Amino acid sequence: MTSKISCARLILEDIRKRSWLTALSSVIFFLIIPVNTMLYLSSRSEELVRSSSRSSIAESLPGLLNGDNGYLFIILALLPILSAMTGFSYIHSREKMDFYHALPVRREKWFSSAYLAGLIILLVPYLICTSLAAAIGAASDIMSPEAAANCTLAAAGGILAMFVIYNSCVLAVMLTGRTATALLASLAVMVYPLLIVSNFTSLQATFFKTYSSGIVSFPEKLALHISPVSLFDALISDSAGGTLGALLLISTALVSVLLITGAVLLYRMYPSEAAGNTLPFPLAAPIAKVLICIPTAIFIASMTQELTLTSETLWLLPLSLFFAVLLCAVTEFIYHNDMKMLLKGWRSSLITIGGTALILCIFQFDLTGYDTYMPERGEIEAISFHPDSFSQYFSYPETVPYYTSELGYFVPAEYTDLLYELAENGIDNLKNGINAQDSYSDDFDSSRYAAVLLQYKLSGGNTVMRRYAVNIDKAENALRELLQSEDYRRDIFPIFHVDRSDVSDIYLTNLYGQEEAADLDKAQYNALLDAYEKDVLSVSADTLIDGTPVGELTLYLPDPYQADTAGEPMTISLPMLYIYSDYTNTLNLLEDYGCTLRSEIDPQEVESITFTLSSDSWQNGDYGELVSSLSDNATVTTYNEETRIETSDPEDISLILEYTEPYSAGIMGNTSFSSNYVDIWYRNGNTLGYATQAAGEFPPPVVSYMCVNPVFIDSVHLLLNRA
Amino acid sequence: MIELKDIDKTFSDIHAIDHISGTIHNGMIFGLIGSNGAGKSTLMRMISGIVKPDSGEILSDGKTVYENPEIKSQICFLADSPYFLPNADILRMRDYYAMIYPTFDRKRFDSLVRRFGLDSKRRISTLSKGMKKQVNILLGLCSGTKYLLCDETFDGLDPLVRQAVKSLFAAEIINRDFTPVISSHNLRELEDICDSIGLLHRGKLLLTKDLDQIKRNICKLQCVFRNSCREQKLIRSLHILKLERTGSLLTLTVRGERSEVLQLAQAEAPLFVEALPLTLEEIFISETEAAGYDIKDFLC
Repeated sequence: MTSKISCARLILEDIRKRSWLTALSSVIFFLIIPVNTMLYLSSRSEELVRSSSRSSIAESLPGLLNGDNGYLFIILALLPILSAMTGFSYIHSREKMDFYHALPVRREKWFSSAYLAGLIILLVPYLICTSLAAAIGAASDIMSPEAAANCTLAAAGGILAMFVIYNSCVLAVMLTGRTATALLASLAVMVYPLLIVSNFTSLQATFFKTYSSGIVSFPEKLALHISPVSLFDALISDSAGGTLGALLLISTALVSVLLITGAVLLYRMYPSEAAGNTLPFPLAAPIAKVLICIPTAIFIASMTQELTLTSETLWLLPLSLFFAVLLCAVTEFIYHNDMKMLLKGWRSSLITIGGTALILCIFQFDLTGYDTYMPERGEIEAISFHPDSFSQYFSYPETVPYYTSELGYFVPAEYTDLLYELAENGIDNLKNGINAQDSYSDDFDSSRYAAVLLQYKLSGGNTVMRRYAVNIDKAENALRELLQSEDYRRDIFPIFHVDRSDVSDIYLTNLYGQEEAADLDKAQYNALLDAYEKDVLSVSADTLIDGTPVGELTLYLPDPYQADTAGEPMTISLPMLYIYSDYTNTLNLLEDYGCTLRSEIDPQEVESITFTLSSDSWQNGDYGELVSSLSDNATVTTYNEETRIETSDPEDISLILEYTEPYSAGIMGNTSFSSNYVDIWYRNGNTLGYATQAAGEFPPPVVSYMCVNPVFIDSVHLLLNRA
Repeated sequence: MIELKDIDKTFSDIHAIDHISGTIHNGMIFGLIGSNGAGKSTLMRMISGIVKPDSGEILSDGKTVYENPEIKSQICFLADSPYFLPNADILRMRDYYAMIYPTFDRKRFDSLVRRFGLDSKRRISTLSKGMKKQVNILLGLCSGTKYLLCDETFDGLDPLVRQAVKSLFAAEIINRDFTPVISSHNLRELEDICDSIGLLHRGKLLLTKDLDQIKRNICKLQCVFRNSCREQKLIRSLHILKLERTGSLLTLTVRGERSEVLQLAQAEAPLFVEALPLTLEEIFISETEAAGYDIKDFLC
């Protein structure tokens, strides 16, 4: 008689066999999902009476269902591992394998039944518990149709996240012959693509002088979309945030199909004698060793260097080789469980060590020519331009994507050659030992060079990014050329990225504070922003590079990502909208509104001044003439290698102020820093003032060490009413 | 009928089964004997479809066994270390086997469990090793499969149970199409129960024949000669597997029918001659020694 055993019966038997796991997952899910939800809602019971708060509480509900925050995240990762291990661990025991595989059931059916039983054990309790939590939410009157849809999405995200981890572990079980090794293999399967890519980017950042991490490369994107652990994280967070995208779902489906197919194929050919061995396929052992040990050794070496704060790249190679040797020994021990067999796989160990050395040499000596790479001119569709100083000079609304605001805007096509030449200058400087990576070091001559990030958009669709140290005069000239384009100005100046209807407040900041609040209507602030835009479009490049602002506008906008407890969006500021003396339209309008920006500090309004000198300046007598001119009322103290001269004498204050002026690093950040600075205490209660620059005959200038651009002492709340 | 057609299996660097061919005929008890590590368990596992041969074919009633549920439903394998579902009692295992094997005879199983004095509700993990083996044998026997592969299943059973199981096997063969294949080191036991024997040594099947035929074709000749020339003449005329001399007594293990061997010996006019049948154990030792597996090697 032919045996026809239904898969369903086998599944039921498997669930029955693993009833303890069903009970465990049910209890854990029950405690962490519905019970936790109940406690959470109870803790916010006072807010539940307000309808405005209910929506914000409802927004947090999806996260409670899929572990976007809290212990559930860990549970959703651990339970699938446990389920996969218990479901398939029988292939790691000869007795069990003999028992099951002697029975008249095809291997595919055994696989399907154990696989599905494992999923049911996970998913049924999870679905019941999420439904219970949703019901609790509905009973608390926070469940709108939108919230219900978000909860469903979150639960789906949780299911998919568990699914990915489960599939990874099932494959890992098939790749091994022991449960302990299967756990290690699970880790390897889940993080391997990320490990490779993180090593790659880390080595690029370490060794390549023109590397910049701003852009997410295709391999990085790929790793994020094929690495089970990153998929798990993305599925949880995106589904909780209601942003579960099609790309993520497709990636999840593809990765899952790959993992399941791999697991089925391996299960079909899984040798019965493999039970108890580390790896079921001995021929794969040296390959697995090489593939795992090389990236892991480099990763651990990089981490060690990072943890010990060692910046010397010199140590990376010996450290990596040391860890490669260590990992080879550990792997051989895992393979054979015998200390005497550590050298058994000496060939693969040699390949591992050699491979590690080779990879590090490729990066160390830039054998691929990464740093000197320049795309062919004909290959380039567009180039972006972003000096480092832009990051300190501009501040963009949150709605502007990071990769454009921080990596620079692509310039109009007619300027491509201009930037290409600038890039060539950067490569020439690199060959002469001047690179942008050193731009934050003391040895970098910022009066001659500027760090500039360029992106090449290539005709093939790829974007390549390089960061060079270019001659500052060449960079300034390039900027002068670029600023002739209105389109480029509209791109780089943040004011053109502001949605005016979002602006809730505008503050004006000047040299020092006077609270001159003026209530303006919508038309007035629109007129102010119009005037500002007009000035920004017409201001000369020289003013932006060399000029000193006389004031700064700060706009207040809604935060697109955060809301307060009442569900209203939080506000965030958009500062650094500088006003120069050339901004006549803006200044005139401000004057019309009753806000006249001062250009000088009135000594009468200063209570006291502290003039701080570095030990070098003090010992060199850089300011000897100024110091000797001060009255006896000025007190001199030395603290932490700094000399502070404090005075409240009006004559001393006038004398110091006479030789100080506002300081600005400009749009190109081309002023050198000094550790000498001035703090000013005003009579009107404003506490601090600084960022002044000594004029004329007191070289070197007294400059603020704290900021590149002017920081003013107080703000005037200019616009309160929008309508 | 189970046919082994030039099957071969290597585990890493161990040649476990070395191109074995042979046949297990239906309706008789087949005994598989062999030295330790000879490949008995591997061969059993291959016949039951657990292990796939590297080359060659294993056919049951003309069809491949491996990954063939239809054929495997006719084969029940009882491993040397039986596995039972976690926390299962005898009834649970009965139900599980009944689910897997449609021919499983629940009534008979329950009856046998009672007759063997086993508590059907007791967790199997609490049973003794011998009782576990009993449960295993009863499960296999009641599965109703045509072939029952017992890998050292009898080891660890007390003599009474062993006798009872032998009787059950005999009854089963009479009642239905049933072919047990038993591997064991206890050759005396196999001698009592088996109809045919396969002798494995270092992965090779040295012989596979009916036990009676084997016994008929091998004997022990003890003789004393006055004339050494005649002695040498006799030795040359016989197919000797083993030769031992104690004083003037010459003991020969000889291939050939007992009467023929005796006739040949008598023709050389010995002072004394006697032809004795060999026990299975003696046959095993002789054959394996002939194949290069000498017990003396262990003693050196």
